[in-house]
Amino acid sequence: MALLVSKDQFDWRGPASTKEPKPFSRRIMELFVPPKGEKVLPTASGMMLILIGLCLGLAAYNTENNILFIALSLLIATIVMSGIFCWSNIISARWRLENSSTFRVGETGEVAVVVENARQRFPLFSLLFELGSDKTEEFRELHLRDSVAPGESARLVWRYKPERRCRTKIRILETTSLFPFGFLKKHVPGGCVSEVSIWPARIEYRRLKNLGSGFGWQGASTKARGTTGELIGLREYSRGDAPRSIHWKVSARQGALVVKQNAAESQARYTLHVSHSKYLWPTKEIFERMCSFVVSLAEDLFLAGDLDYCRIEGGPEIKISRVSDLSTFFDQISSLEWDADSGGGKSEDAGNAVSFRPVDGIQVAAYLNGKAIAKA
Amino acid sequence: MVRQSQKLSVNDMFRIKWLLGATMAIVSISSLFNLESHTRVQGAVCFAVLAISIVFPKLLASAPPIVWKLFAFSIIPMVSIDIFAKETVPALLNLNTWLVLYRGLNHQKRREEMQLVLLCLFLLVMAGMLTTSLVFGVQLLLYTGLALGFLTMGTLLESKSQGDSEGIDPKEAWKNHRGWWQLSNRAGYRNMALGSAMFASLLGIAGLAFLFIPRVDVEEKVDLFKMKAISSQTGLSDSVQLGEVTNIKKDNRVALRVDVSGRAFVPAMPYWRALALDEYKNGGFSVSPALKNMLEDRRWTPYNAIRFWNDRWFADTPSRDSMRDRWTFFLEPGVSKFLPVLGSFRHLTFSDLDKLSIGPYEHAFSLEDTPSKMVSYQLEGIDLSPTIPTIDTYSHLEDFNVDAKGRRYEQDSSYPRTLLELPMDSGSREYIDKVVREISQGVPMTAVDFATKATEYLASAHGYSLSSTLPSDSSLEDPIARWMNAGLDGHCEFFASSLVLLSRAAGFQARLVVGFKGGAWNAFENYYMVRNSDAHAWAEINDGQGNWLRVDPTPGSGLPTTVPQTIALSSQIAEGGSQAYLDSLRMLWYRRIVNFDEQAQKEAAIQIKDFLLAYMQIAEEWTIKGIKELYNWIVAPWSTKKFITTTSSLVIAVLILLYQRNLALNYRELLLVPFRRGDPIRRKASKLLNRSEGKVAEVSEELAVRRENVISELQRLRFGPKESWNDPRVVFREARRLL
Repeated sequence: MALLVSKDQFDWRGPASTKEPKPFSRRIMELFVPPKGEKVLPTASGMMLILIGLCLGLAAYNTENNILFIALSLLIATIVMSGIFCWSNIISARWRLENSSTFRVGETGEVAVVVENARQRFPLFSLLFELGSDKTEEFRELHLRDSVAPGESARLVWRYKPERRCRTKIRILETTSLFPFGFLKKHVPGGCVSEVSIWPARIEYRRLKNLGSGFGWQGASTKARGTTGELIGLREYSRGDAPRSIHWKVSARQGALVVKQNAAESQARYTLHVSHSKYLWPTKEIFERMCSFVVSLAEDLFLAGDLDYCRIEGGPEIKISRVSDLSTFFDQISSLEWDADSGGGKSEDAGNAVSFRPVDGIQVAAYLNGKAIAKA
Repeated sequence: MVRQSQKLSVNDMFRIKWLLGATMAIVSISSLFNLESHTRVQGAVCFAVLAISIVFPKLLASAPPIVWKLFAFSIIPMVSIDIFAKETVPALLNLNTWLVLYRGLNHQKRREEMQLVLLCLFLLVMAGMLTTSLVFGVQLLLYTGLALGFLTMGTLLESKSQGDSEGIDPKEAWKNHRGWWQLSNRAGYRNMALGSAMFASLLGIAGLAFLFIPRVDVEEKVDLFKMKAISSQTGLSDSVQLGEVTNIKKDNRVALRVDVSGRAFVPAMPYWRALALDEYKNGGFSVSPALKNMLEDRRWTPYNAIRFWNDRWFADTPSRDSMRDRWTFFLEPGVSKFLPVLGSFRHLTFSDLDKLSIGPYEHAFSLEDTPSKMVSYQLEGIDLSPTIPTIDTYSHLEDFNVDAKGRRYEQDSSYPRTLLELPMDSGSREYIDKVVREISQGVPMTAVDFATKATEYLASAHGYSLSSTLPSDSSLEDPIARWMNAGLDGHCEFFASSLVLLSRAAGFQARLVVGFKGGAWNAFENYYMVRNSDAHAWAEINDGQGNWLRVDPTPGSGLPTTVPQTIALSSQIAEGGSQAYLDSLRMLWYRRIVNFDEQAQKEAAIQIKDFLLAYMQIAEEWTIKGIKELYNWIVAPWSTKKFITTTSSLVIAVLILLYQRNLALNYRELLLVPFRRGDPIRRKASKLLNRSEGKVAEVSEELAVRRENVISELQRLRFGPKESWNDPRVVFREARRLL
């Protein structure tokens, strides 16, 4: 059902995220006994106000002056109001995290908090969302810039530019409401978590050999039917054939549509083998360089249609047929550890396996059948 | 639906916040104008600067930072001068004023906002403590509203600027300022309503807090922010020259308010007695040095008043005798340091008895200085007779005149001789004697009789006039004797002084009394409003029987009598009009706010309890009555008309119910709407979709298609944009039928 789909689609969090609104009595109870993780703390201004309130109270009691009692009452009312309003402001808010599942080092991605005002009458004001990435220890505060009308929502965006590859969790650590006076701060656990992969950045690399057309270093034409090779025959047009494959001259002579049959070009398809052994990669820097090189090369090979398999040492081979396969491989690269206990850096040179080795202690080279084919 | 709202920009908010801050500063600075004894120059300057800045805010933005630095540094010498030249309180006020101006013009950071709010509050509270005036209450209300708006705008601006409100460039913010009116038009009514609700809630909570903050009676009260009044009205001081009381009459402001409770009768013409003056010298009366020393001597305090008045009690809390009448006096600042009283009484309640000294012989109650703020006190068991008991001079004070070390105080014996003092020049004395003989005709008289005759004599010889020019060519040196001799018209002081001198010449002790006579009855809050224009002088004559008899020889005041002249409180001729109404607000402020103490708190709690109990009882009675009536109506015989009326009413009710169900919001939703969240139509669609879940029934193909259609319509109502909705009522009706 649509409703169930929508429930799955939107993983709302926050005080108003429950399916049924909480009974009013329970809400009032929560004002005094807040649910676990929720708290109200005074800000620096609030502490100052409380201190001044204490001084005023002291003066009022010692002088029995009602003017001071009035001022004290106003301060007390301000603090109470601050608490009630910051509570009532956040109580009808719910939010969710929206972000892509992958990011890339050095490239700006988008992490968005969609916040909705589930109230009927009054707008939602001044929420502060504290977002953070676990592994990279990056944090960001997102303010609700404008008020959100009842039933409406707003989208707060964090332009996230990761600095290192990893697999991390982006989460809303905390949501706070300072509205209206900024004396008290209502803290509510953010609740939203999203696991993301940060792929290594693309780097420039240099190809050392370029045999034939396309990307390939190896390859030849085969007699298998294809679309781009030499003409090996003709046949009658059948529904679904591309118009460009129609042999117009022959069709004109025969009075019926005839299409060309071309030979397929056999292209060399490569397998990338990645070793993450500490014995092979002497420093962390060169290891990171290798990761970037691998994803850059894999990406280019995939775009050229030349990537067959990818494998990380100690893991299964991934058949690269679709973008999602490549993404899976990149996800693995993003969480690749510089590991002393992996296979010892022994590469497989069979077939079209491309392996990677450090060169001169600072560079990384890709080897195909023992020959360096690219260097980064 | 994600919305990109078009709202106030960061710069707009910055400007609004600044305006609120500057207005708040203006309000707090305006409180300085309530202080009569404080110089208003600084206040006026700051007020003007702030007002100009609000009108021309761009000028402010173009000021280079060095201006602010110079201003901040210039405050130090300005305040230093104040500190060296003046008392602490004026210096503190001036320092606060300059700081409010500085911060009011220049506040951007969150801590600066807080500073401004607190500085303004401090200034306002200081001024309020020094005046306790109703204007302060109004200013405090204004301040509260502005402070709320200011702080809220600060929070919103912080969010709007993504936590970087301190980084806003003021020049840029003011560049596109097109006037306040244009900016105010952009404030939505919803925000205004929310702001008003917040303000009202705050006042409500503050009111409750004020009511329920526990009050305790402390023994040693601290007197914060004490400030001397400029001066009291000289007509109500311990030395009064001719015409000084009459000068007060030109001022129509209210000087004294008197709240009466527990009494059905009040004096027909109340005399609010401030002070009796015994020493006479060249037309002026004053308190003799002996009595003056007593007033200034700290030995003569309410704590030892029992030595003079064994039936009186002085305390800082009212008595427990609830049967007594209570007269609460509210003396305005700057009127006099002597507390006006009606006459003899049983109990005086004053919050700070240490500051009160008593003059038992002249029956006066004096503060240390003329108060700069409203003073209140309460009298119980007031004797409404026109007499005050005398006290035997020094007869029982022997032990009192010895200090702790056994040293004897020097006793001034001039009193009570001063009560018989006459003019120094023999001509005047002879003239007065002549008049006395004329009045008494050589027949011995009692003091009352003599006072009556003398009053009649003066009334026959002189008329009343506020202005009187004494002849300069008279052979009589004494101005009173000259006035009597010339047969001129005159004001109360001439009449009262003449009567005092005549009585003294006749051998009766007499003295001049200053205070107020009469007063208007405020019908709005039921109290006396005694104005400065009611200032009056009259005489008191010792009747030789242990009483001082009030004698008011001013024409129109009647003849002296020892019988109390009273009227029913309900028959008071009341003063109405807008001025009286405004004054009643001030009285309300004094009664409910300024004078709210432990006792009042208890009374308020009892009142609230009684109120609730009374309403519960009424509700119970109504319910029982309603049930009984319904029962009687049902068991009563049913006529055709009754049957038809009842049936048709029921049918109408059912129809309304059914019609309600067809609305997008049914009756239950309508009732529960305040407790629901989100769009009601979406919620209802969600509910119907939930209901349809899991329902599988064998239906015809046509019905299945219709079901699918209605489900998709419900989904559209639940999730789709509002623009794509079909009529929700139709959809819901169809859904109820099919699902």
